[in-house]
Amino acid sequence: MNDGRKGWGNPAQTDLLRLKVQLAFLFVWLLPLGSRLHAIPACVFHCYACPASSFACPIGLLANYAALFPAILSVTIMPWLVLGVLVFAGALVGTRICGWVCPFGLIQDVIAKLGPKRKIGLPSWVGMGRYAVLLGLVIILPMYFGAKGLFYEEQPITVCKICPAGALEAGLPYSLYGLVKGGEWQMGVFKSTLLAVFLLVAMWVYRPWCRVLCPLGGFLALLNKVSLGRLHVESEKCLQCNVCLRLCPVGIAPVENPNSVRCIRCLRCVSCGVISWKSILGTSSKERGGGDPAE
Amino acid sequence: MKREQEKSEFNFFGWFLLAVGVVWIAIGVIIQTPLRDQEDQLVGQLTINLAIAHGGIQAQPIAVNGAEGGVASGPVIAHPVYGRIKLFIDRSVTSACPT
Repeated sequence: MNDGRKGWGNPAQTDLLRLKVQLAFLFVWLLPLGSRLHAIPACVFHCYACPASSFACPIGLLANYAALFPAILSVTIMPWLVLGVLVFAGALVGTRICGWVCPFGLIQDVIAKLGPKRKIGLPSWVGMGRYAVLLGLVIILPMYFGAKGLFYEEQPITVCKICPAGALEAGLPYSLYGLVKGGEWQMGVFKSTLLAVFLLVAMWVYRPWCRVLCPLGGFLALLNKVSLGRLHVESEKCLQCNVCLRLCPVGIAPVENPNSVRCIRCLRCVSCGVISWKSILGTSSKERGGGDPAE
Repeated sequence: MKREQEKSEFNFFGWFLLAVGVVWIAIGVIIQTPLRDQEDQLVGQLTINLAIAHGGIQAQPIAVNGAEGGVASGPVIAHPVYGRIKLFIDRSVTSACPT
């Protein structure tokens, strides 16, 4: 790997560019828009109880809609806007949302920098946890309890109750604000413990929420295979050097399965020159990577 | 070794899903999004009736469109049910408050 390459040919440069894009998108998900657009769902995982959130969390909204079962079966109550936003974003770029746009992904990237450089690997099957959360906590359980007449906020278990984004982005600032004002730590014991465990794990495991439990990432990943933006492998150029495998932070072999459901599309693997990002606008030379891998 | 080759053919399914997303967004915007002044009016009424629990302010009982009682905290979301607006009480967040 020639680290002297510029742009997408250099994984460090790719990481820096990705960080800049993630930070730029914070101005979309956070202030200055503030909390004026909570009627509109975002396509990223970001708690809408965060004091500075602009848009609604699509997973929180979906779970709330599911809790309206059976009324949700009505055409006028179906969550058209949420589903539309998610399908549109997923069909456009798939999990590139996770790698480049999601603020909770950025938070986990930052936390990961605080931990050891060598992260603990995860077996591939843990990714199924995302679908268990999606089906169980976002769809089936809210519908079940909703059919029994319980509002979402009254249900005994919901995705919001185990969500570290809620604890980190909303519970923590409100609790700190309470402390500053001379009050008490407002976050409950369970949420506080959840937050502490999550922070610790995120230092030792790269993006644990995204890879194990995130229902939004699971949904977007389902569209990776068919999304218009996708990773493309020029297999005839591959020297099987496994550089892409070493660069991949989530431990997949991009050259074998570039549009894997486990991929967050950070595009580090593009550096090798065999893999490129192909969008509806075509394959940008900047996104093609470092050129001939045999160089 | 299984390798994914570039598909030169038109990505029909991708474009189809993109179109589906656009149509669903359009439907959602048309039939589910309250008008801005309508939303402001409802949020204004809610704001009068409730004190947000966050930030140490004491939570108070509220009524959403005169139908629902409860303790309010968390975000206000426009919603087609309950008179097109509903106050979602997000316990994940309100675990951070006394409610």
